Amino acid sequence: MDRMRPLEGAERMARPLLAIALVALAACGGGGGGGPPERLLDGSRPQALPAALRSLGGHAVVTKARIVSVRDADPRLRACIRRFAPLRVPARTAVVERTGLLSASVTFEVGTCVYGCDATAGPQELPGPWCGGETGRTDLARFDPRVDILCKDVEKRPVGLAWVEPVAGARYVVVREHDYAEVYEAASGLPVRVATHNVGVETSSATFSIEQYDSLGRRLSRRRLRAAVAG
Amino acid sequence: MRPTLRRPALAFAVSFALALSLVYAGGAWGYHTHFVVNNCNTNSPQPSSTFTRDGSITVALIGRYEGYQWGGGCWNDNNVDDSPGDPTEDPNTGGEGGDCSGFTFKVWREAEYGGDAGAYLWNKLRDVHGPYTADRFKAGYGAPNVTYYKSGLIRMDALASNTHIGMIYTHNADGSDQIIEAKGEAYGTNLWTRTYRGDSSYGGVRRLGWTG
Repeated sequence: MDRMRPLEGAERMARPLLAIALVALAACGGGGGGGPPERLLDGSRPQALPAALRSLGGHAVVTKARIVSVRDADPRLRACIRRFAPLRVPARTAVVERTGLLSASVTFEVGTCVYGCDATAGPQELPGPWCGGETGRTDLARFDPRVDILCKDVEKRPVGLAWVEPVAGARYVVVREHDYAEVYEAASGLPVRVATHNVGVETSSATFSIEQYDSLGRRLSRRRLRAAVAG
Repeated sequence: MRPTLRRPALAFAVSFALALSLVYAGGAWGYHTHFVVNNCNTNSPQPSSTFTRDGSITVALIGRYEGYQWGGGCWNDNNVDDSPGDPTEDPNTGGEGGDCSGFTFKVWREAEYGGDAGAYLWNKLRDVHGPYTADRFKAGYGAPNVTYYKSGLIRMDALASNTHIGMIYTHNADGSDQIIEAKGEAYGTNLWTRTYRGDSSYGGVRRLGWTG
């Protein structure tokens, strides 16, 4: 779990949003050649693909994930939490922060609900730097991915966002896009917020091509998740 | 004695298995009413230059008694839930009715694209949910939607929490409201007296652009 580096580098997530958008613009430009963009949404370079996932090839991009506590929340995380007022979030609550090519997110759990906020390179929802937020219940018989299709990329194309529950034994969740794949590492037992460009505005839905792998790189599941905005 | 005992036991086992299979078969029939497949369409909405709060009440009352479907947005007008008992939180069951945000989207005549503040008349049998969740409505997201102070809310404004939204039908003298809402599979879509206005988890939301 050295890739997670818990509680380190909090200042990175606090970068001014303008910088993120500018770098994302550059990253999107870099992706025009058919391969994956060279930079993550925050401008950083993706880490090397874990050896266990070498079979995914050169078009797989490793997203960043780290765990912070609410006690150490930066302004962005605090803005997200305020969005759910009057929710009270205990200081010890673990928050998973993710940064990928299309999106950044935070996810945390309080009681029987999972909460999260999403950021993309497109317009933000006021207040705060986030383009959206979501609440999902964990006490239901069927897991609700809380799909969102209102966030947009730097070219104002809709970005679909959803929570994916890692299957038993899964360490990596991989979401395949047309010409690249994003690799998300499972963390803190929380659902993983993933992104896609495969959005159907007319059907209020998004479709995700998802594979899950264990720490040895064995594929545990492969599915096409077509999830609709609901509730 | 043993053979005599075995026969009733075998008969019981066969009967039990048969009964069990019928129970599951019944459940399966109930699960898939195919309401959306058999009744709904994907026709384009009609842009509307005028739309009033009274008009939207009419739209809302058509949806009354027509059930509830997670992620849904299609219903007829026969005052019966044609897909009762669908498994909850499953948008793929294709049953009749809207969910809370889909119902609000259609009654408020909103656009599929969040940046479009125009008004669109959606046919009751048009299967559409729209891009907003209750949480998004609560945040006032989308070109035609704003957050609004709760004491100033009037008819056909809405009260939304992170997980639910309902529209005001009338404001009661005791401070409560008659709310028209798609409440859940077990409750359907109807009018209820609610105290959302006094509940801190609910915020006020207004759709802009009414012409009357």
